[in-house]
Amino acid sequence: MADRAEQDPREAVWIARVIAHDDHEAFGELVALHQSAVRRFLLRLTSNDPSRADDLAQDTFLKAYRHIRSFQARGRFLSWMFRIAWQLFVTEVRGRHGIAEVALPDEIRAHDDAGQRVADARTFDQMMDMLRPDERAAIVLHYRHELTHPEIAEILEMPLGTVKSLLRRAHTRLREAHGIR
Amino acid sequence: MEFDELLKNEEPLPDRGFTRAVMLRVERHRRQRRVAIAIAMIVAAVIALIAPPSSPTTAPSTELVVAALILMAVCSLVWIETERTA
Repeated sequence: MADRAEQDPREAVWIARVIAHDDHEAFGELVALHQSAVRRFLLRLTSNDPSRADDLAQDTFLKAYRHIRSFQARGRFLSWMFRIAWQLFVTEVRGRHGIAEVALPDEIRAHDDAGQRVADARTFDQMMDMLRPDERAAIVLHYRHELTHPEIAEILEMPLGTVKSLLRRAHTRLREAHGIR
Repeated sequence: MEFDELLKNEEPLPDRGFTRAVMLRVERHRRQRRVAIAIAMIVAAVIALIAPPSSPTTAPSTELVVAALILMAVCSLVWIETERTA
């Protein structure tokens, strides 16, 4: 998985080959490099629905292929992918149920055992599911991929202040509900 | 444990045919684009055969304008269909 700290130096070469020569093989390398990050991001957004996440991930890569000339290396390629993935997720949710279906704070289901202290990944998945999709996205982008607040704001197409509030609120709720330190 | 550690400790997802599935869709998209271009070229060739300009200085006839509009409409429809199904 490509983090900020571990960006693959071959990535720029592959992007250039796709743009210049429509290089099928190079695009395949980009997909293989980023598939895990994009699919995990979408798994979080879809509350761990693998089928839906993979459908959206495929759409994400296809859209990236079609519009790769607009990337222009202004930022990280993976950030650009996250932006496409987020846009497709929001569009899909709107199309399915209307945007109101994206869980609002008062619709969040209660945790079965709020007092339980947890440290395993399964319980962490449940914790993340308690957050709104935009909060989940912000948490994953910030803590997993070490993106800055302005980068997250660009991906989620939100004002910087909103992103900071999202992160603060999500962070507080995760800590308060489950006592993780 | 900090939740950023939990996130960072996540195992990478195994590919399990995902990349191959994406590349198949990419290939299908390319094929559709090629078909769209081929259709546009055929339509343009047909129009060229039906309505050759009689003189470079002559104003375009009504038929030629209509044919060009039809060409544009056909290309647009093909383009929209390609984008929708890709």
